[in-house]
Amino acid sequence: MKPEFRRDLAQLPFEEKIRKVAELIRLSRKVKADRLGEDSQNYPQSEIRDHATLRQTTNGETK
Amino acid sequence: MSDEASAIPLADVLRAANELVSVGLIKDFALGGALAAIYYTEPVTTYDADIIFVASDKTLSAGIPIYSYLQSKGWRVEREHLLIKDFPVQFLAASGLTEEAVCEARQIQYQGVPAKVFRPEYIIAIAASVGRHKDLARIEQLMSQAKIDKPLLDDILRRYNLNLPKQ
Repeated sequence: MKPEFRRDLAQLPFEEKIRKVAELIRLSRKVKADRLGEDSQNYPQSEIRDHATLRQTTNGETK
Repeated sequence: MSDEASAIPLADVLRAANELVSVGLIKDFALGGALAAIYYTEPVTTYDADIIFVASDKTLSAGIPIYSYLQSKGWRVEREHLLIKDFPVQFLAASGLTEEAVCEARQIQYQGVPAKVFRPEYIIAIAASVGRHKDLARIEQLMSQAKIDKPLLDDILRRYNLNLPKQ
């Protein structure tokens, strides 16, 4: 972001800036949630099963 | 929270802090941390509010009565935070530099609620004393976007034996 634009943002009334912070929080939570969703979709179910089996085997719970 | 403006219930936080003064649990308070910096700079993401207070009785552990009082008013406790409308707030006891920052803080009105916010020179000095990555970024932002009283900043830094990070 250009420094002039950032300086303009700094001049906004405090209440307006607080509203923008709230928007930033919402956006960052949405990005995080979307990323988590993508990760679980991209990870093949068979691999998830294999990992679960491996973990159980390692723990000695599955013979 | 459905309403955008209510996502950060800062007016409620400041109203509660004023109430703590009225009932005598604290002597004075000011908004510190990232939200105080945002008063002077561009908005940045932050997930909590810091209220720095001067305790009425410094011989007691000031935090406990504050937590009890606010819990009785419906605030929830989650680790070191008190939550109002799901927004985390930290109440931190002032001492030394932070106590001076509270005393010298700027009077503001936020949505009609009287409050105080740390002056930028004190935010910079406190950030210099903490020195995490985000504190250094805060110093850079304030130096480039806020109007800084340089003699005041130099005086604070000298008295508390602090140095600004090298640019």
